[in-house]
Parts: sequence; structure tokens; C-alpha cells
Amino acid sequence: MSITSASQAMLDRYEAVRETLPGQQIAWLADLREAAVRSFGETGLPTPKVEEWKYTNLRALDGFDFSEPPGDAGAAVDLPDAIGAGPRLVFVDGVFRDDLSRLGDFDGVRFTPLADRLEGGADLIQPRLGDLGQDQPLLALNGAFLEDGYVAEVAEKAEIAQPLEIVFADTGGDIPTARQPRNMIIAGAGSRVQIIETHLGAAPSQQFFNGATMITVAEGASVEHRRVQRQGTGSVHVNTVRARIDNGGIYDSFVLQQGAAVARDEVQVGLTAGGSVARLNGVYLGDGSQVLDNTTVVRHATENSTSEQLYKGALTGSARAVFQGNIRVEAGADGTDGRMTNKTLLLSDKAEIDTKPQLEILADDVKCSHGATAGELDGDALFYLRARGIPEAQARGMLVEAFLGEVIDGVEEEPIEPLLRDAVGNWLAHAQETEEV
Amino acid sequence: MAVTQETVQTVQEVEKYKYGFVTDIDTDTAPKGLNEDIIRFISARKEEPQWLLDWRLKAYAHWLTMEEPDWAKVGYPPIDYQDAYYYSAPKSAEDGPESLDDVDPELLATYEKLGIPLHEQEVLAGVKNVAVDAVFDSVSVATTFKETLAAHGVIFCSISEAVKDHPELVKEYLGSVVPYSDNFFATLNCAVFTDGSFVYIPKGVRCPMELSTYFRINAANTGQFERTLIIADEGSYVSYLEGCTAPMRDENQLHAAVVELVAHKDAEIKYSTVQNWYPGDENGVGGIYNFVTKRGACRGDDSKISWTQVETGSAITWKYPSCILQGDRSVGEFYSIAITNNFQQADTGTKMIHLGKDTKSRIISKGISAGKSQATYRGLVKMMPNASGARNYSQCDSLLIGSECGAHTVPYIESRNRSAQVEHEATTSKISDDQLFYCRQRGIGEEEAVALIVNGFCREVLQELPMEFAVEAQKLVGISLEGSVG
Repeated sequence: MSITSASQAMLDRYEAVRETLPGQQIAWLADLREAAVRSFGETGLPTPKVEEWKYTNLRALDGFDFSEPPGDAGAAVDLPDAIGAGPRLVFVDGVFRDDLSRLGDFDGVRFTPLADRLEGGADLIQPRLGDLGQDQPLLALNGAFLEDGYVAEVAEKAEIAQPLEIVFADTGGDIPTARQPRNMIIAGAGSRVQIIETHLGAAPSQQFFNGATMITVAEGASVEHRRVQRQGTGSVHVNTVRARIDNGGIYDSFVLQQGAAVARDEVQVGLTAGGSVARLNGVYLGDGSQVLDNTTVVRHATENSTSEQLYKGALTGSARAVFQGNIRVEAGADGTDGRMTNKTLLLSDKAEIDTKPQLEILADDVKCSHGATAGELDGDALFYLRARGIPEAQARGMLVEAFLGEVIDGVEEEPIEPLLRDAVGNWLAHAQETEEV
Repeated sequence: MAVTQETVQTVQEVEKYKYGFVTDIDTDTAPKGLNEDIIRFISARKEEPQWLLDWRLKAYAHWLTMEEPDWAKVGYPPIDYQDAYYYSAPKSAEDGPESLDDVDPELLATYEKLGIPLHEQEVLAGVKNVAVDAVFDSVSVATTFKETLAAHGVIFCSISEAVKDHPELVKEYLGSVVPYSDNFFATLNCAVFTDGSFVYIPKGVRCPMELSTYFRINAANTGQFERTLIIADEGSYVSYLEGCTAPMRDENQLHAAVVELVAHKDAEIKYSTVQNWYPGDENGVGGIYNFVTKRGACRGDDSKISWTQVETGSAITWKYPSCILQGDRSVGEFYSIAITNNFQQADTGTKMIHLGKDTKSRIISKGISAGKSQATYRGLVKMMPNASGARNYSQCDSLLIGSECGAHTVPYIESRNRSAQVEHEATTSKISDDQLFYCRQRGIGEEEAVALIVNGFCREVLQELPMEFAVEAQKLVGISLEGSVG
């Protein structure tokens, strides 16, 4: 089987940089990398012939030239204000920046760059890296490069009041880059934590971001994972999250997809014990010729687990959004409750939505449902507002905000809420300026 | 066509016949295997014109380049396409059983439950020397039907007859909805199809009868590669019923049929299927592989195509009756019940492609899985950029009976028009203990209760079936689930 030119470029790049990758002197890590690169080499990057990638094409990467050396590691960057008063890790152009981060002592949590934990990390880190996800080419690719990312280790019963914040920023420039951070969230039994990831990039930069986050939620723990994706318009962004939820644990995910030329946020959740809960929500705002993909795979492996998903988005220009949701209920997973909803507003003539909400059910005592809708704003609702003297543009704006607001209500009163409301407001204002929305 | 050109072509035909195929011309069965000679043999046996042979050969050449699809959620051992017969004349009546006494009692018991009259049972079981006409009390009903239809100008015959008698219609429409290169199984069908039905309803004619009873008798033994073509000209209407509630024993394991429907302006085609082929035994041994391509084109404005299917048979069902909604305001409907039991696998659904303005489609799918079976709904709703004001509503419900079966839903929705509205809903549940308890408490046996509840679950689809079939189909639903509870 032949692989795409970007895939070959990735393999070549690996050969070129492998000696400089973090923790290369650690034998077990080097072995893991080698296994991962072999695995990636077998298939290369997925093409639309692969069912899971039917709607999202990574061929834009074939136009990236990855052979150039990376840019200046000390580049200046405009960072957004911190969200909350918790610790903050900042990675600029793939490099951890101590000078921009806020570390300090926070009770109950060890929150550091991954590179700091590799040495002597055979107990905690190694077993979790062992699950590189070699079953998936992009995870394998990430595993091969395994660049610096964050590790959030929350102690048992610790309740972390302030969110842990991470910023991945790219300063842009003319040189195409590939960033492949590996992150870990390890929530001890009964702990509570909120993680906020922000992905930023200078507009025209050709950046390939291929992130992976491995999450374990122990018994009775709760992890709230917020992701704000605002990468530059020239970039390709793929972020894969794999979470394993133990008994009574809760994984609550929210993603705002707004940036990049082609973006995919993929959440894979294994509900491995009774009473475990997954809540996956997302908002996507697309314009220009963006492709924004949200993919979820929720596996109910045992009895009495629950999952809820709500993804909503609005599209203008010739933007295209993809939603692929899959709820899989294994044999014997009786008492499963799985729900999934995807709704999209098409605000322009050329916008497109491709949605595939899938159920795979192998147990009988289950309640599973999914729903999907696509269309423009409700004419009756618009008329109602217009009849009350509200100008058309404003009325449309109100309806779009209300439509997306349903998802944002799920993070009400969280530190991130104002940011999300502003994002929707600004996106809408911009959309209304540039075309009739 | 110019005379010289015609001559050249005729000579070519003769030459091809002479050198391309030399053996076995007198036998009724083509040798095992698949190659160009077999296709020439089939074509020659059916006395087909050159263009049809060329079309078959073109399909065959293309088929050789194709790979068997593996995306469906079904598993089966690889099929050896060279280890099969592609042409055999209908079996002679001499092979049939002497009387109903010789017929498998299990089969008879099922006929009994379905309430099929004795004479009809004999025909269905292939009992020797029972003339088709004897099924009905009158003189040849078949002939009567033919006369009535002819009086209205309706053409209803086998596709082989149509090739001979109405070549211009066949040439115009054959392969116009499902092209020869469409998919692995359809392409195979193009190359080797043996027979099937042809219907043409002229302008403004409302077909005076359901083309059903007639079909049940005539279309027996059309073989494993059936080809159906139905054309409804402007303003016409036809309701066509395929299949039979009675279980059909069939020697051919692989069935790859193609059905093409064309609805012109203001025309309506209602196509109902009841499929109850041999599903294999309770251990999953044997059974039919049913790989069917069904597609209808709503060519004209305000046309309508409605598919209704009750799928209870076959070991494997792979079938997606689709509508291409080209005409403005055209309507596509898909109503489906798929019941799987024991080791059956069904991967079925529909495709609704909206091209015209204000087109509408409605999908109601009810999947019931029991035993160790797997049922998958797989459907596509596609709104193209010109489909302004188009609407779709889809509802896919699955019911699970027992803990070892699976029910899957794989809907694809692609919308490229802002004013198009798409709605999709799906649920999966089991028969609730409350419902069952309620029935049991009133003295209804457990199996009957399940049948009752399942019938209620399927009601929306059963209502769409032509009257006489709805009754039989309801019974069939119960029978298909026998042994699935308790």
C-alpha cells in the first residue's frame, strides 16, 4: 500500500529529528517510539477511503514542506489573558516556555510538562504511554514524535478549585511545522479537576498540529476537559482524546472548534465500569472554506453507564462541518443510557454539513437514541422577532446565539463561559459584516 | 441506421456467434463458472440483440476490475464466483414433489399459519402437475389479467420478452438508473441477468390492478440474477408487489438482483416487497445471500416513488432501495421492516438523493433483532446545492429481543443547501417487561404477546403495504420471531 506524500515526509522527518526528541536517552521510550513509527509506516495518514475519514481529507498536508528546521524557540507571542487563577503551562512553537507559564504550588495536583516527568517516569508515565494508540495512524504518529505536552496528576480526593490551564501557541512564519504533543490527565479516586486547553496560531502559518491526550478517571473522580481550538487559518489541526472512565467517574468534555483550515477533534471514551458517565459537548463555528470535524466514539463496556452528547454548530461561507458520533454498547452492557444529538445551522448557500450519528448495540436492556438536524434559521421564529420590531440582522443574531447557547449553557458559571459567549458573538458579528447572515 | 452500417453489424454478430461460442448450445445449463463465453451463451439462448450482449460484456469487463465490497456489517465466507452456474433453464415440473404429502411438513405448517389457500400452497411448494391456472377457480386468470392490462395499454411481461417486443423501451431505460458500473453485485447482475419483470405504464394511465397476485405466479423461478425495470410515464400510477410471504425454498445461495424504477412527470410508483427467503436453520447453516440493488429515479416534476419492504428472510440481506429525486417537488418514501432471528444478518436502508427543488423524502425504518442476529440500518440523505426547500424526515427504530443480538444504526446525512431541512431520529429499545406483563396478565401467550407488541412497533410500515399483503405480513412478523422468547 502506498502512503501519501505527507506521510512519507513525516517518516523522513522522524529519521532526521529522532535524536533530538525529548527523553530519547531513555531506552523504554525509544523502543515505544520505534514501535509507533513502524505502525504508522504501515498505513500512513488516513485518506477518505478509510471509513472514519470519509468526510475529512488531510491532503492539505501534502502541500506542507516539513523538511525545514523549526524556527526560533524564544519567539515573542501575544497570549490571551489567563482564565482563572490556577496554574498555567504555555507551549510556544512546540517548546515549553517557563517564562510565560505560572507553575507555583497548588495543593493536590502535580501539573508539569511531560518532559519533566519522563526521567524516572517508568512507574506512572510509561504504562500510560504504552497505550500509544497504535491502532490509529495519527495516534501512532504522535507516539513516534511524542513531543512535550502536559501531565496533570491529581491526587486522590483532591478537589482543585481553579482550572488548570494550558496554551499551545504558534507564532507563525513561513516555515511549515508539525507539533505533536502528548498529554496526560490522571485523576485519582474521588478527585475533581477542570482542564482548559487553548490552541492558538498566527493566521497564515502552515502548521500541522497532531495532539493526543490520554485520560484516566479513577473511581468517583470528575474531569472537566475544555478545549478551545483557534488555530491559524492555514493550519491542519487533529486532536485525539482517549479517556477511560472507572466506576462512578465522570468525564465531561466541551470543545469549541473555530480555527484552522482543516480541524478534527476526536474523543474516544471507554466507560469501563458501572455508574461511569461521559458528557461530550461541542460548538463549531465555520466560515471561509474551513472543514471542522467532530468525531466521538463512546464505548459502553459494562453495565449501567451513561453518555450524553450534544454538538451544535453554525456555518457560513463555503465551510463544511462533519459530525461522526458512535455509541457502541458491548454485549452484556445492560442498563446503558446513551444519547447523542447533532444540530447544524447552515447560514449560507455554500455551507455543508455531513453528519453520521451511529449506534452499534449488542445488548438488549438499553436506552439509546440519537437525533440530527440540519437547516437554516426557522422562518417562523424570525418572523416573530421581526413582527416585534427587531431588525433582521439582530433577529438572526439572536436566534443563532440562542441556538448555540443551548450547548454553552452546559458550562454555565464556569470560568470559560464568558470567553465562549464572546467567541460566538464576535464570530457572528464578523459573519454578518462579511455576508448576509 | 444506415443500411451499410446495419449490414456490417449483422455480419459482425454472425461472426461473433460463430467463433465466440461453439459448445453446449443444446444444453439447458451453461457450464460452471463465469467468463465471456458464458455471457455469450446466456445472450444467445435468450436471442438477444447485439447491443445487449455488448452491454453485458462491457459490464463483465468492468466487474473484473471491481472488488467485492466489505463495508457492510455482515460476515460470510468468501464467495467463489467461478463455482456457480450462471444459466439454467427453469427446472422442469418433473423434479417437484408428487403431492403436498411429500412436502416438508415444517413448510406446510408455515403456510397454514399464514392462511395460504391449499391450491396456492401446491404451487408455492412446486408440486408436480398443478397448473398455475388451477390456483384460481375461473378460467386462466393470468390470461384475463393480461387482457385487462393490454386494454389499458400497460405492458407487463418478462424482461426477455420486452427485449424482443419493445426493444426501444428497454434500450432507453435499461441501466439508466443503475448503470452497469454501479457496484460489484449490480455489475455482476448486468453481465449475467437471466430474467425478471418489465412494466411500462403509458401516459395518464392508472394501472387497474396491483401487479401482485399475477406476479406471484408468473415470476417464480426467475433465477438468482433477476432484473426488473418499471417505467411510469407522465401522470401514470402503478403499485407493484414483489415477493411472497410464503417461505421460498431456493437452491441458489447467491441472489444479486437489480430493480430500476423510472417515474416521469406526475407519475407515481409504489413498490412493495415481502422477502421471506430461506434464512438458514437455527444454527446459521445455509440460507440465501441477498445482495440487491434497488433504485428509483423521480425524473419528472411532481413524481413519487415509494418503497415498502418487509424483510424477514435470507441469511444475509444487503439492500438499499433508493430514490433519486430529480424532478422538482418529487417525493421519495422508504418504509421498512427488517426482522432478523437466529444467525441472520441484515444490512439494509435507503438513499435519498435530493436534486430538485422542494423535493421531499420520508424514511421510516423498523429493525427487530432476535436470537443471535445482527440488524443494521444504513442510510444516506443527501441534499444537493440545488435542492432548495427540500425536506427529509427519517426515523429509525430498533427493537432488541434477547441479549445476544445486535442492532445498529448508521445514518449518513449530507446537506449542501441551507434551505433544505433534514431531521433524523433513532431509538433503540427492548420490549418492556411492563408491556409483556400487561399482555400475559390478560391471558395472551408469551409468543403471541411478542408478536402483538412487535406488530404495534411496526404499525407505521405495515399500514403502507397493499391491503391483502398487510394481513399476511402481520402474521409473518409473528412467525419470524418464533422461538425468540422464553
